[in-house]
Amino acid sequence: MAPRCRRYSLPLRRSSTGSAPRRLASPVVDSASICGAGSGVAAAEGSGSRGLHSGVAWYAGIRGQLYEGKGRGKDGSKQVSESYKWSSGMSLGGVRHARTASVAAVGAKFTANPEDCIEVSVDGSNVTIAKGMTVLQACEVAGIDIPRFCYHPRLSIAGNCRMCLVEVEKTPKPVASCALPAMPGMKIKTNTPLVKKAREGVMEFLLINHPLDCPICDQGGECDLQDQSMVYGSDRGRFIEAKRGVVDKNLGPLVKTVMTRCIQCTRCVRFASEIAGVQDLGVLGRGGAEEIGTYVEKLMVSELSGNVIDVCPVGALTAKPSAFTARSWELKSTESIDVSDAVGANIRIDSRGPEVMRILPRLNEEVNEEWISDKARFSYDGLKRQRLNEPMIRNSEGQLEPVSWAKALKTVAEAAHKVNPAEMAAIAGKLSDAESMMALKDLMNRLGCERLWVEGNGENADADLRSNYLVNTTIAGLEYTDACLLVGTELRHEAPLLNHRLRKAVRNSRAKVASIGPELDLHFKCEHLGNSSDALLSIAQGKHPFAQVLSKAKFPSIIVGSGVLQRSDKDAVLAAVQSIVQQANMIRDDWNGYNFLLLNAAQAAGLDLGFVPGARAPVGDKSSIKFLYLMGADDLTPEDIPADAFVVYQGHHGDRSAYRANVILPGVAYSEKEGTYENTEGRTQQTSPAVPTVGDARDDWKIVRALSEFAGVTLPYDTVNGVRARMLAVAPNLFRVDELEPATPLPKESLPESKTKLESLPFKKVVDNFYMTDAISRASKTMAQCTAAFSSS
Amino acid sequence: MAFALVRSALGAIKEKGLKGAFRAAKEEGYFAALLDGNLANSKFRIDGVKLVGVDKAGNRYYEKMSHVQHGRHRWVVYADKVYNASAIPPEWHGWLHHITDHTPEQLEGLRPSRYGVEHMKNRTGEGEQYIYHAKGHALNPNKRDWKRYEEWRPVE
Amino acid sequence: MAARRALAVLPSSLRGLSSVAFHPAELQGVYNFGADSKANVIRAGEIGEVSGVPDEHLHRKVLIYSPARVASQQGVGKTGVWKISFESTQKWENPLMGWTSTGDPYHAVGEAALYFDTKEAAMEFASKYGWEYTIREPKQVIQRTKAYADNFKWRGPAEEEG
Repeated sequence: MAPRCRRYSLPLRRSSTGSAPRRLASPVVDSASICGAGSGVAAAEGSGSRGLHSGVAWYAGIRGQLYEGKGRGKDGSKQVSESYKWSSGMSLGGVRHARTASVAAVGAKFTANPEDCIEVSVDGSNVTIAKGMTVLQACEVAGIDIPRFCYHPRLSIAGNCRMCLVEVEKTPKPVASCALPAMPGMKIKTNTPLVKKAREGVMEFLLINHPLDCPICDQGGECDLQDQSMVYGSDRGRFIEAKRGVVDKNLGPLVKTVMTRCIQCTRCVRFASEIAGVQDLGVLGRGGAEEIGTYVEKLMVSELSGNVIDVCPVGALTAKPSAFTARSWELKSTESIDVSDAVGANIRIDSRGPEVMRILPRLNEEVNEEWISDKARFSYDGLKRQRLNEPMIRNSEGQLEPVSWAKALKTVAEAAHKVNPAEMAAIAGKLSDAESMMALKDLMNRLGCERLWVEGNGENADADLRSNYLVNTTIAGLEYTDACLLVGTELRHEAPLLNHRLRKAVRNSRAKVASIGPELDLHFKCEHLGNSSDALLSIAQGKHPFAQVLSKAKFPSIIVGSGVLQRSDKDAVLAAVQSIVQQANMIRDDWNGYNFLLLNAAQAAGLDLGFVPGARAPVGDKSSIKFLYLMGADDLTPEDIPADAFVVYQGHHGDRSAYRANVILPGVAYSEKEGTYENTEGRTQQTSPAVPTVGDARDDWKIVRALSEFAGVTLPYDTVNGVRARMLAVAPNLFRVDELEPATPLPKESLPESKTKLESLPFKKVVDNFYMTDAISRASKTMAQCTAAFSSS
Repeated sequence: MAFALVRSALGAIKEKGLKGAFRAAKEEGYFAALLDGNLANSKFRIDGVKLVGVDKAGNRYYEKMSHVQHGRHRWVVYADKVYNASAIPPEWHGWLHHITDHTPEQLEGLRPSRYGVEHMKNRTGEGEQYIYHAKGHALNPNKRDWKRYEEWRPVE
Repeated sequence: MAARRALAVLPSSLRGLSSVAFHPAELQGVYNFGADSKANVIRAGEIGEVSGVPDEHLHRKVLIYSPARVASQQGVGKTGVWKISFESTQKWENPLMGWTSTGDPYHAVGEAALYFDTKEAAMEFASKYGWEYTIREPKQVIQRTKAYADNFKWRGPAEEEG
């Protein structure tokens, strides 16, 4: 089929006679066939085998719950075995894709057991929906977009904007569809003159006090009010009195407010209290004097505060760092992955020419829903500062001077050959992608060096058992936990989106959460059990009251922070954790509650690729290192690096380690490359290049490949697909992009024996400052402002 | 009118002598005005010619409302001999081209005081320093670097 | 070519699982031209070869994807289409005026024009031109049942709001 020009084609999916797409979207046929056909076979398969399949089955259960809409029943295993077919059955994959294609148009998906479905009529055609859905959701399933301001799919229903009015047969007046539950046989009409008139009335009232500053408003071009007023707005106003003006509020360095534009949808208020967990925003006054604001002058302290910008349907809350810099229609958007933490949030990078102008979240129900952390959203201005743009060598006077690539690589190769392989080491930084880590590992191994590690994993990470270093419950699965123990982690700072999932569990099902580690307000009810390993030990021995909470819970879970890896008694801590896991029976066929939370984007892929010190590598003492290859690694202090070591720094920012480097090789940042990353739950995702590289910088794996040629140990691949083929041989899961590869839970008998004794040491903070954790956010001015503004919290 | 003209001519002869007065009259274009009606109108101001105003550069603006071909009733006499139409400031441009009937003096209150800049005539051809160079042009004394990132430089 | 060589290394069982599809040569379209019933089979890449497009642009890497709804708006009118986007980052600032220059004739093509109704149509188009494509499936929205009454729902024994 030839491509069609968008401008001249009419979307068929909204025509009232378009029954064909609607029938495709109707989910009942699909779910009936899936649920019915799948269960018998899968139950037989799933219940018999433990080991390899049980982990897969658990993940399939989570997926099933997410996409099937099935509540977790009393008999968990049955649920799981039904949905087990989901990920393993080939035919199901086909069904899923077919359905994706058909419902992508309406942007909605729902499935439910057929017996839980009801049928309603929307504009004359029948649709099947789940029991308990609202009229608005029924219309969405039918492929009809209902205008709305206050309704947001991820927030509670307020029903105060009245824009979503529809007509329901046998009701005397139009009804707000967002708040009305759909009843079987209901006849909903969305395109009658009455509906149009009602919405026009609502729109006229909204526009009474809305300023006419669309031409200078940052929301202009992507504003719900602007778009909907094109349909329901009048071409002239009847309002001749003075418009009201509202004083702007100060919400900190990230969110800009123009409160006169506010239409009091209260989405931001609900976001703050329901999602972010800060009770700061509220509604003051009534009627024309109604205002959104903080009661007293107060900043909104939340790692997710930037999301109120997206939630706001008008331009009342906009992004302060990108205020007045670009209009939305000038921007080229690239769908990519965030690397500022290990969650791997899906983002959209909006760029203009060679500049990143803003970063927005992108929908992925299994990872970030539609939220991102402030660091992911606002640290992009760091991409424009402190960039390394040409190779440099430290000359005889001790000054770094720009040189050609050939000379720089030759210098590195010569230096590498001068030292004994046992005196070499390579560290991959927090933001390294899997391709460059693969290439670096191959290069160092060929040079005889086995001393490699990824920042954050440290030198004594254990890469043997995949389930030992992943969030096995999965990020979405954490919502279902009913008791959770946090060990040595400040969840809110290490992974704000994971913290949000756990908060959901607390909010929705009163999950009990306790924390051992540095004390931090997680924005939900969390019992702090002290910051010493004694509390951990007493839970492991079953003496602590929380041990009973865990063992009574149906879906208990534990989250171990990566700060544990830095402890000298790491094995003992993990052994204690494992005994808690066993006592509470956290690893079952239908549930895996053991989670190890990684901190950095590179860590999971590094462990999967075996980017850890080899068996013969010396560990610990760094004073013997004579040749140190830092691939974007900045965590080593100058004291850690021996004075006589030859340091190669390959990276995109002149951060801490660049000052110590003997040779600087400029690489690219995540916004400029196609790199594979694995998030903390084992999901492989890829970034896409949005903007060009700066200066003379090159892709990281290409630098390593070129260096291998200068060093005389040429690597056998010279295309990115070649590197990926090599990755496939080492870690096949890194090849399956956008898919989560669940780890096989470890059998009980293979638990690591603790050789060390649990010491009574406090757990250390691993994130000193949430806003500045990596080279990009440290270079960012916005993040520096956040640090200054929020440092008191 | 004619009397005043004769009186000023006699005054000039008395001051500069006959020869000097003749040279001055020639330089100021009184003889050329004999062949050029408009110039004559502006020089001798016969027949209801009115000097409406003089701008900062010394350009003189005249108007004659009767016995004139329509559309030729406003004109300018440039201060410079080698003149250039861009020497007319925008406020007089409006009057001269019948955009407005108000002279700049009458429109003084409408002048943008905050962001308005003084009018300058086009200096093209008067030397290298008057040629416009784009912001990134090599000859622009304040040549701008368009690089949208800031590179790292090791501290010396 | 390199991609195909790389693919040959993979175990065949994994190819199907991968969401990355490397320029499958077997993907062919069948077209009827003119009145004669003889079917003309178009080889992958054949249209590209006869189109006069310079050789270096015939084996471009493209991404076939369906753009996600922008997070700041609720309307879904722009979703559901499939786009081909070219991996194009050859851009620089024009030194004279500071405008963005590019050396890539395709840099805006995908952004502006290549919309398709279905993934298959996009795949077919890309393969006709011999582009090496990757497919990225769109993420699905989940409709969760929710009710206005949930605002007043009793959520277990009284505790302070979490």
